[in-house]
Amino acid sequence: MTMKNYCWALIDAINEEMARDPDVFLAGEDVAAAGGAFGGSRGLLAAHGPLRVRDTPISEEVIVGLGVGAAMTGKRPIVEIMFMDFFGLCMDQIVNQAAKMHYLYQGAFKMPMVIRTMTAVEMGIGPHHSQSLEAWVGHVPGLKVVMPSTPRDAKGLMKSAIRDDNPVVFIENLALHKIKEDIEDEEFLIPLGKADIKRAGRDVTVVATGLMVHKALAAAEILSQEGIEIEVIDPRTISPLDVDTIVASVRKTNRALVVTSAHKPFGLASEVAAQIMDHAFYDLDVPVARLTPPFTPQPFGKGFEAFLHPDKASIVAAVRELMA
Amino acid sequence: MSPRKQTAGAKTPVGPVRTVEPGHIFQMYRKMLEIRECEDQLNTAFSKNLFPGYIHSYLGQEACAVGVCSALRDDDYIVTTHRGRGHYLAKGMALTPMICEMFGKANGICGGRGGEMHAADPALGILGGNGIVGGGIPYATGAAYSAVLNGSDQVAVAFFGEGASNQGSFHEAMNLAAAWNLPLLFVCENNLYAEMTPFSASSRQVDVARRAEGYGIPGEVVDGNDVLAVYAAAEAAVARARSGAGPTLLELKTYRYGGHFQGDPCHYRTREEEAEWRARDPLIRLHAHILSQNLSSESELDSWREDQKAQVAAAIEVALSSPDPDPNEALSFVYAS
Amino acid sequence: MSHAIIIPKLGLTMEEATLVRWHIPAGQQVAKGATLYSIETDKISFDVEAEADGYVDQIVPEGDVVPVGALVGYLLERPDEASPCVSSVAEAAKVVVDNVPVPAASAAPPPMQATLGGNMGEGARRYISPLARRIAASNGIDTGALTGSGPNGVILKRDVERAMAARNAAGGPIGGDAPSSSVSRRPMTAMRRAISQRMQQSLNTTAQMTGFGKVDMTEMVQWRSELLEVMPTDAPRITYTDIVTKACAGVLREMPELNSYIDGDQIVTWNDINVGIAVAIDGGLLVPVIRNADRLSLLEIAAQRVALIDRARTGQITPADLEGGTFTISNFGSYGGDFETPILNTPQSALLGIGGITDEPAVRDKAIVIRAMMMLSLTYDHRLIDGAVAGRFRARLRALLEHPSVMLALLG
Repeated sequence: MTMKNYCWALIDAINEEMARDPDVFLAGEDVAAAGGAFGGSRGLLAAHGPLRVRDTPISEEVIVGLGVGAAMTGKRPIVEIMFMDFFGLCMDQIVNQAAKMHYLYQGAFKMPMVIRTMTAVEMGIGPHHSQSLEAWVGHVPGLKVVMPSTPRDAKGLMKSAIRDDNPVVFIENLALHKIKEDIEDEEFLIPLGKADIKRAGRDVTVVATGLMVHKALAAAEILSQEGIEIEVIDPRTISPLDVDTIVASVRKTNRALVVTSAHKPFGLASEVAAQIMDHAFYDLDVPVARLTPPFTPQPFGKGFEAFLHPDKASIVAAVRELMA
Repeated sequence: MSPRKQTAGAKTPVGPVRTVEPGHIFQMYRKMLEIRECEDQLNTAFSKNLFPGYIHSYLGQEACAVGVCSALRDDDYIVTTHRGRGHYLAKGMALTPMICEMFGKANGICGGRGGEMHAADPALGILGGNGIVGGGIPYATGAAYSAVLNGSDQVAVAFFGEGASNQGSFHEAMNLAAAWNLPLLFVCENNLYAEMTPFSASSRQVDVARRAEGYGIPGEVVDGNDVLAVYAAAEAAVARARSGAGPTLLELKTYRYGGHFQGDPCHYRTREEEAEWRARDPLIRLHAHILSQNLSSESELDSWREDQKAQVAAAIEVALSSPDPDPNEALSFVYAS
Repeated sequence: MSHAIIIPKLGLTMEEATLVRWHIPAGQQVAKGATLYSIETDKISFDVEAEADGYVDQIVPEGDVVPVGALVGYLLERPDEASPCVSSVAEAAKVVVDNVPVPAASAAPPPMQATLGGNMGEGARRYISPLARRIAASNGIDTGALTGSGPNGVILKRDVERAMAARNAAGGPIGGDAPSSSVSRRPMTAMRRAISQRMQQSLNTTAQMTGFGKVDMTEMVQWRSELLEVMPTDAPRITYTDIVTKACAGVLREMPELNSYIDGDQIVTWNDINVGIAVAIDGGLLVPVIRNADRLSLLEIAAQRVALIDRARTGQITPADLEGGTFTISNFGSYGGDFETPILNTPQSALLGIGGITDEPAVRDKAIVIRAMMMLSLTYDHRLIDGAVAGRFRARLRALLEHPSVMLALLG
């Protein structure tokens, strides 16, 4: 076992996969010489050379397009869009090209590409760098969407994403870059589409993603002292969503709360709530609750984020309300 | 140079800058005939309401697809547009599955999923059409980069119209290809109208090829209705790309006989302009060239036309009698397993 | 620094307790080690000592039922100190999780709220949760007669379950609340609640079967009276319960399938033979356990039984005395029962009921004679134990009890 932070766990994953498969390459803004805008690709240029680790112009549409064309012609590209907020610049390549190629041409082309991107929610960098936009891509058939919350999950999921024959949007969380975890030295994969029960409990199912997983776990400690045991489920992959694990938990607890950094309307919290209605309505003792920031852009100034985003106090309060 | 000022009619000869084997010229002519017949008969079928959707006709632009694709190998890649039938056929796609796809049939090349704007064949390097203007150009860079990573001498071609040259994707892709020295041809077929708006209303610089200068790569205006001129320019650009000298932007000046789509009344242009361009028809010009050089006879050329006419008619017959897709098929292939 | 007062866990199976009494009033000072409050669990009462010096801040009032680990108050450094929040955050999460104070449960909720419930008009219609509706429908509960305990009176699972428990207790159909003049109500004690839950759970989760058999105790009665005559007066008095305990332990050693239980799709067999003995006490029932009864002499069994019963009846029993049983004996004869089918003490799979010893006519060598007869009833989980196996157990037990010399020879 070796203690790794989230950022290095991802570097390790990419490094291992590049060593394993010569078709894997990495391209994006500042990924090569600089080692990544946030250090997420340190050492890869030296290890794999300038053709396979390549800085691109600031041209998001062609960065993704590069990946699409390379994937269609036998490569396994990892293309990096520095922040998910920049997806507006490349959505055509993601939604109309990458996501549909396998379907449209009935499998004649595989699309083994990873679109590596990041949310910097609650990092205090304002309205164009802090958004949680996973719903944009979760809504598109043909895409897979991963958003890990721990170093081990990040590593195992990145390796699976690189080996997957579908376009995978891999959303890192900058706020989690420094968290550490013991990770086995032996190779391992974590399958896409499988949720993880981060804490078992009998009273309330709490589905949380990214940063909110950690807030939910902190809330669980407090609630446990009150005798309320919440079960914290991290879907890890939001598309395809592991509905079975969530539903099995709700069948046990009869109560559910979904906590996300993304907004309610048309978002993951709403999707999870709807899946619970579809599959476990007659196991619900109270309505499914959603805890998210209010429907506003993310302002910059100090204090705005703390005010807008769910925290352990609001999670505790929401759970207490479910238990009333 | 402005295509409007070009002299019209068969008096404008095709301009071979070097000798092309007669057999190669015949191939080009037959391919252009195939495209012409295909577009003609599909227009007719569409007018009779025999198939749904749109049809974006390639009539008048045949020399562009055939001239460029004649300079390519099977393992070279092309990425095309909503007006892509000429490119599919020129790159070697079989007629019948392509036409069945236009009709949305189960035996179409996409199983009826794509319709008129989509077709592909990995074995022929045909990487798909597109419903998005400018949507294909970015991923042509990826195909070119695969060749670089493989150390092969394959090239990629992005076909697009002058309308797409005002999309950011064109500029991003051209800049990346130039910066990375990719083996990529940007082929702009300037048919003067971006959908229904004249290019001159959308761009102060009416020669798209001049934009290449801004990216530090060669740009060349070519008579897009002269298949031998297109072929010569493409061959030179392909050779540059194969040798590692990087991308080229070719602007092929041409004209779209139909409107943006079949049924477009074309109120935005004059009958005189259309007549002027019809006089510069690429098939008429190559026909005249073949006869003037005594490469073949009028009767042989006529027989080729009849032959292509029959083949297209047969393919449409197949399409008309083919089954619609099983709707349940809609659920498959969303993900690779 | 303030010190949180947390309900301690006092035994493996303890889940909750009633806070029966605060010994130190709120706001008063208490010294470390002084008795701070008392709790009552399903089985025992327990006095909890202050773990630190401080001023008492009571969050939970007397009479509340609270789960193990629950925060019930604080020992504050100063009498006017505000009640603090509790925070114990996992190491990994500390890096990223805010330090927002979390108000205690009674405080007003924070400004941002989860969307709960929607707007439920009062009185207009009755609301019932989907789960409660399903449970009510499948158990024949008329929800129209129920009172909802949820927000805005919504009927929840717990309301339906309460109605089901009431119906089971009354043995009749449920109507919901009976007219208040015809009944009187009082809350269940923790012990009664535990017993009711355990009994219900036992019947719900096992397939119980009871077989009867009579044992001729004539020789054993004779043997015991001779034994008692020679025992020192300060030695524990050996009872028939002790003798049956000894015999059962011996037979269980031979037949471990009765010392087993079903866990999911597995059969678990205990290596130890720990025999619980049902003891009636004021307001309920306890089952103290004689551990490794197969390895104890008759005298040692008697000595342990005497001590356990004494502790049970004086409220001194500890959770450890009550845990770990693998088989139970219930002496229904002690209160005059002739035939009884006691309910299994789950997860155990077998329980022996014993009746009183009475002189009865019996046929021996074709003549009617008077013999001292005792009824045995063996209740067992028929999912695990077949009738023939149970019959063999009873027969083996009978062979030992009818022949004291054989029992002595085999079991020592």
